[in-house]
Amino acid sequence: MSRFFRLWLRHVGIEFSREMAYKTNFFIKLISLVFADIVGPIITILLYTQTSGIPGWSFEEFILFQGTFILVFGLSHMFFFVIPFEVIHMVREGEFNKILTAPIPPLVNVTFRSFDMEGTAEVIVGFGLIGWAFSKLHPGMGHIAIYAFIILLALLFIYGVMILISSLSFKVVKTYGLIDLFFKSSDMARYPASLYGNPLRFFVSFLFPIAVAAYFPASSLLFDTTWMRIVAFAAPIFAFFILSLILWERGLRNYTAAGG
Amino acid sequence: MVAGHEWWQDMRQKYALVEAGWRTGLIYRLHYLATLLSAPISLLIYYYLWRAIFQATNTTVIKGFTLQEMISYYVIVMIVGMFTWSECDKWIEEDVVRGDTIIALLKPFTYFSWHYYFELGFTGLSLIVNIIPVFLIGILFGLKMTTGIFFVLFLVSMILASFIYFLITFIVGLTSFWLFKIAGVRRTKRVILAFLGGSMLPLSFFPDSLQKVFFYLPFQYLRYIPANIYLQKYSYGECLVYIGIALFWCIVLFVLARLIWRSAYKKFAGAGT
Repeated sequence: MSRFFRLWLRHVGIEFSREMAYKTNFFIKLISLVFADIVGPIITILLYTQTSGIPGWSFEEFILFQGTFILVFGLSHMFFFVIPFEVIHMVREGEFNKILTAPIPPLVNVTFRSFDMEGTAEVIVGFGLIGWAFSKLHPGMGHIAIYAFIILLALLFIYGVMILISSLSFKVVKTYGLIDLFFKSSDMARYPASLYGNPLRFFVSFLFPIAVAAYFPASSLLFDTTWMRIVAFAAPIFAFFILSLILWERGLRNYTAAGG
Repeated sequence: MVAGHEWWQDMRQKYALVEAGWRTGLIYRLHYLATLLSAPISLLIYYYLWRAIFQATNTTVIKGFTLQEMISYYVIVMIVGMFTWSECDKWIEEDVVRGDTIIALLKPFTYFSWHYYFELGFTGLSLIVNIIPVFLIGILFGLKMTTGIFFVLFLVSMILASFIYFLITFIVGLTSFWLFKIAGVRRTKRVILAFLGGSMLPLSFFPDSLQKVFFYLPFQYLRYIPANIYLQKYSYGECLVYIGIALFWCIVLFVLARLIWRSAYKKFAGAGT
């Protein structure tokens, strides 16, 4: 375990030096991310001053919702979003063999290599918004524990999606379209699923359970939830994650066969 | 006769660039497909969001928009966004980072028209594979139809918007001659143009004092003004005034782009020797 941790730290260090090579670009990138994230809450302020807002959600509650989304996507940005790009790049350049010869599991290796410092900006904005909302809403410890657990589920789901796209990159070369599609579809998580009609709500809850990025955690924090409900949306995510691991293994086998 | 022949030569060369852009665009087929699939997704989200807000607010008009106009607004903003799409800042950055700028300079075009006509090919392709389908999808979502003269005025404002967007992007791209890597600058540009252009929320939702400031900035002519012209929110006179201001911005930005290009070129030539 400590071997993995040391390796991860080494990759964080490499990423840090890589970003520091172009310091101006790095700081402008951070500022641009903060700016992009703050646009959401600004729109919320405008919406809640000009209209009666989003039904079922007070201003503070919706800020919590947005903060949750930003936090989940910020953490995913730090740890997962680069994975498919890294795999596509390495497969194309023939560098992926290096990963296969290294004495650690390829997926762990690729994940470590894909660490992206930029995401920290989003994580900070997310925590800021959530902290502000917590100070207004005073959630109980039990609710916070469930909230944190569902956020972990959300990360698992997004990790699964990134692994899935990476697995397809072994076969199909241009999977950038899928990455685009993922980000476009994740826009569906930017607003509470309670607004949507039944088919779309079912879609974002079970078929493509991106509602786990903000709607499930925020609503479980604010309103009482049942264990049945948590299991109902945790199950498809675990199933999906296992499926993506299987596809990854299969992709690896095919890649090895093609190389040898 | 000779002048006519030269003109024809010039057009043929430029057409070659447009075609190169078109062909490059074809490589990104999956990207276009993703954009196309994402249009109904975005519209569905906006539809449900605004339906809920209109119901909760218990009114038929919010900030000058009915629900149908609000959905139409997003459809038009999406179409204008696809029409004005430009990524020449990325191409310029790639050239600078790889040291390929010299190749662009060797071509028998100015650096500006090299990028402009190339992107025109992209836009032409996107017109067929994205804009027309999105228009049809928009009709399914209840896109309001506009009338003859307003449609012409809308087209003019959209073409001017594409010039403004291209010029700003070109200027942003040139900053890479000094900053080298400009991923952060490019993203800042995208967010500012989308937000202040009115892509996310009509600018009429902003406080009056800010709207006055927006009047003096080029951004609202990128999305908000063309969409409102389409939705017939202005009189003919007002439309012409807005088109005039957009034209003014095109000229200002064009001059600015020339000036910045001149010093970027000096910087480049200086680095080369």
